[in-house]
Amino acid sequence: MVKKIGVGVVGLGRAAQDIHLPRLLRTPEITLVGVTDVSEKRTKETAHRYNVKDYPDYVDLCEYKDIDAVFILTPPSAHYEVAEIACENRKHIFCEKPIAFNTEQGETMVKKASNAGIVLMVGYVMRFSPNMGLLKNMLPWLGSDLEAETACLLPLPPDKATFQYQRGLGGGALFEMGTHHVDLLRWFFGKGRPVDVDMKMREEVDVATSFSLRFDNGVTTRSEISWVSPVSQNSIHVQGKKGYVTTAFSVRTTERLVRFNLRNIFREAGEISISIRDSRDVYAREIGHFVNCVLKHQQPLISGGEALEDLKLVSEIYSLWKLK
Amino acid sequence: MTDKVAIVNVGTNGYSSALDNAFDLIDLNKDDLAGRSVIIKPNLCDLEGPELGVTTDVFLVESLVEILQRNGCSRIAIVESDHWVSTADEEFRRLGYKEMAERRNVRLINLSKAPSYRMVLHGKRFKEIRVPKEMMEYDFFITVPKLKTHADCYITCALKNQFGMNPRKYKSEHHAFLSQALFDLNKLYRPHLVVVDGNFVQIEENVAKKIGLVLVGTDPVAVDYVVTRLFDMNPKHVPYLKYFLKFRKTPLNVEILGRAVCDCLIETSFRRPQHPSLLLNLAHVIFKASEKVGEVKKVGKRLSGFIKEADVYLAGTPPHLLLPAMIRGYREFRARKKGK
Repeated sequence: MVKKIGVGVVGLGRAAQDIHLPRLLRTPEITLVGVTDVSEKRTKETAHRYNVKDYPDYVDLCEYKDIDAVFILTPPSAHYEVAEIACENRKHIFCEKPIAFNTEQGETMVKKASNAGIVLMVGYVMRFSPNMGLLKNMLPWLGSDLEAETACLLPLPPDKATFQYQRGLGGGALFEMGTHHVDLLRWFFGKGRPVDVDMKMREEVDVATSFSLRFDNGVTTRSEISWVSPVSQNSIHVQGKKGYVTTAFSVRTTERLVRFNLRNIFREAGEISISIRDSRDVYAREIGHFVNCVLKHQQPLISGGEALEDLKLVSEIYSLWKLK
Repeated sequence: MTDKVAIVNVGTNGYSSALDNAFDLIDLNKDDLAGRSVIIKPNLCDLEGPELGVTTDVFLVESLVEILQRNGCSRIAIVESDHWVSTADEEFRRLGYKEMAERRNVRLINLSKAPSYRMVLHGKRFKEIRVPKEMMEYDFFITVPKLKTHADCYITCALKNQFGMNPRKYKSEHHAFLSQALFDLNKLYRPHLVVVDGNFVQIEENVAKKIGLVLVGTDPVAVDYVVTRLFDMNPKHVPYLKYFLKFRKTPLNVEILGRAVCDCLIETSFRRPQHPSLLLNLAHVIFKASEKVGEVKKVGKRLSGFIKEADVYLAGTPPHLLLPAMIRGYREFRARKKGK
């Protein structure tokens, strides 16, 4: 018999409705117990749609005995207060990225989760893309003098009514989307620091940001993050003395390609692609990993500590921009 | 720039001195081998041993390994795939490769079993092909084919040895499209060095003869070209070789070093059978019969002449395109005859 964990969801915005709730229901090891949101109407509608319990607030949800894990899918500004209550009730936490609104809150969250002995995982989904995993495995074959270019470009900015346009809730292209690429680059290259940044502001948040990082192992990277791009792109290109590897992040496709040209046995063949076919999407992989960590009491791939390092680097990029 | 191919004797000192001699003749930069990780692909795809002229002699491969290790190659692996009656592992054991690999600290990779990536080729025959993950870690490819005659395509040597790089056990579905399949496989696995085992050579089916040669080159097309000359064949009569020559970007400019071809011609009564396609055989019968009919005798003779050379025009043509290819080929044939 499959061992199940009871899950409660806090925050019922787009991330919950479009991404997490449908997949939570399809995960055999999960029983969706209840949901809650600041909007009472949305809470009742969602609870009715999924036939689960509606809670008036996250405190009630976290206190409920049948809930083993809490999915925090609120804007970043609310992550800390929900996580604090979840830790007090010893509930495992899956938290959307970035871990918190600021590093102080993030550090406290990590500390409290550690003291409570619970799993704290942060949702950097790009790490669960098999082509990103393959790219990471191919890095040693690229030789020295590595350089990387990443792009996360979207043609349509988010609705201005959403938290993404409010700095006080955790908005901003870099804070909200760019953090994915910061995490990915840290995963690939280790500890780094910002060396250059440029931002295009609209009202109180950045809508387009380009930044350069230099990592302790000598790798240099350049990233473009934008909500106002004419094209849609989410890609990474890494090159070294022995060749290059390029791939793109995609949620829905079942065939992912990693293009490369390496000075290895295939160097005469020009650019070739490795095809990865996987019907399981990246969000399902992410949830599966969280479940596995909870059931086996393991440290997740993106622990609170890891996500805190991402947040610190993002904060350093913003600080550098303020200095300019 | 010339494509150098060395022909050397396997003397009393064995393969080692023959290889050293051949490498010197083609000016192989041995310094370039230092630090290389090398894949060696012998031809083990048969049930017979090397003395029957069908599989690569393990002693030749061992001599090659010894030279590579002497010149600082960091890592060496010998690869082969399963074939329809046996597995690569069984062939490694049966033909002495397993013992040799242990002796020389060389890896043996069964291409059919190793964990693999799916490579997208969009080639002439393969849309994609599985490639063992481990192959990505190697940077030098040496193909070590056996020099022998072949029922379908006259000879099999450097280019055709890469057919075994396809990890599928049952490869017969590609035989009808051999030229295209070999083109794709040689594009992906372009050998950096070709070492041909021509010691015992299968000159006819089940007939082997000691020839005592080793051929070395860097261009597999040039090596196969020289092999056809050794058998006194027209290179363009070998369908896949003709196909490669057709798509070659630079003209073939072969420089033969060491022994002269005329001094080491391999006598064989082997002749390639008529085109295996049912359609062509049927056409052959009809045209032969038509020769006997007075009214069409001249036409019949012309067609009969074309049929004898048909494989030159139809090499690599998929079955469903044979008829238009025949018509087009016949027009070319007529134009050439008229030109003469």
